[in-house]
Amino acid sequence: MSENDKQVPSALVAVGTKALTVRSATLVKRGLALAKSLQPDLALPHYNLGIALKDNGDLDGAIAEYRIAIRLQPGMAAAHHNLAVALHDKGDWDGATAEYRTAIHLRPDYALAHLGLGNALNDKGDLDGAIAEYRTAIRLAPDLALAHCGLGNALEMKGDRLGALGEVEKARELDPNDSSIAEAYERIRRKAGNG
Amino acid sequence: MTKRITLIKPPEARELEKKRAELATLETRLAGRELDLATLQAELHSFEAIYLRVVGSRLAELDEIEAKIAEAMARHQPNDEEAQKRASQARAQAYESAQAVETEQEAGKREPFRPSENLKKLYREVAKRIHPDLATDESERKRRHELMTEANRAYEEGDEARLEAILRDWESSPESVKGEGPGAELVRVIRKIAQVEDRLKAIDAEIARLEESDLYHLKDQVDQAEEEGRDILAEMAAGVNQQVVEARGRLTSIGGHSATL
Repeated sequence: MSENDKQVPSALVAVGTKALTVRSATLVKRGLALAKSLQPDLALPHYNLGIALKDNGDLDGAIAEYRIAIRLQPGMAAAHHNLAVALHDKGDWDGATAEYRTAIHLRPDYALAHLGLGNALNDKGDLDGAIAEYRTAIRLAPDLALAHCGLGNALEMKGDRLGALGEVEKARELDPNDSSIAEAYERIRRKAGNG
Repeated sequence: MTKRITLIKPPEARELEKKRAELATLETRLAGRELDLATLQAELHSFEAIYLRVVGSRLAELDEIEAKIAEAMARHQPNDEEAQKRASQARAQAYESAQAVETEQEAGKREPFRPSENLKKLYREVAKRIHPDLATDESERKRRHELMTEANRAYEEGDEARLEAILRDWESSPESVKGEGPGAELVRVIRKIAQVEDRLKAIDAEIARLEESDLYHLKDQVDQAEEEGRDILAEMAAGVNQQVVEARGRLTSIGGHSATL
């Protein structure tokens, strides 16, 4: 019996109401596990709708759908990741960090979640934490241009201009069409040249 | 020259007026939150009964067969401590499941709790007028508590006539008559405000705890599936039925008996 189940009787003792029996706690727990095992096909439509809503600029709608998908299938790492990205876009860095961490907990080799967590930590001012996450993302997916770019930016802020330049050069090589990478490359190259 | 007399309310009376207005707002909020809690409780109560009837009964049947299998295995291996332990655990599980299902069978068949708007309105009115936390002494509190118990039962059973009768009786009872001077009344109102605020906090905590329970999460899963046009309880029951058939086969193959199941 979980802590929550133990709390059910006391929670139900409201004004003049009788307590709900907890003799079925074990059966309820087994039922919950059974229900969850049957739910994956239900979570997917909400996950996909979340993606579509975000593409249309409806962040709140997307967040709501990702949350439903997670409720139906708590182990869906991609839904946690996408929820984290949406929260990050809304400026909720703490919420985003928590969701990125959950995604990573569920799938430790999730390079995009490490990249996202790096970005969120960077925004929160935790440069060392961000650098560690970018490096993990690069180790898991060496061709992830944005992870190299993020690492370059973070190293530059730490004062390591040469290290930074190496990373943004690598990022530009991997994705020459990304404007944010091109901008970071130009800025860091200028500073490195001046230094 | 005529003198104009302006009636100025004493500060006590002004404060009483202010506090009464504050209490009135809180009473309305309290009635709404009591309704939320009573509805959630009744929904969980009826859902639990339905779940136990549709799925729990089958799980209990499965547990009974598994216990018989474990006991048959233990008989075959009288010196195997692990086998004896497994048999005893399986029997305990089967007993627990059977007890849970039996309790609900005794209570009879239930339908999902879906209160009408009028039923909710009546309950809200009862909670607003009779709530025990609006009592000013112990005997009044006891009387109010008894009436609320009756009202909660009537709400869960969908008995609108009973709720109306409770309200009617209360309106004509001496407890509903107010009196005394503004000073005593002010003290009474302030005390009521504190009680109502405490109760609101307790309700919020109770609802939050209920929403964290396994039963709530299970109901949530079933409701979500229903919205998508699926009957997850029936699917779960079918899955357990399959396990029951397989378990019966195992029991027969090891020489146990399944005919009585």
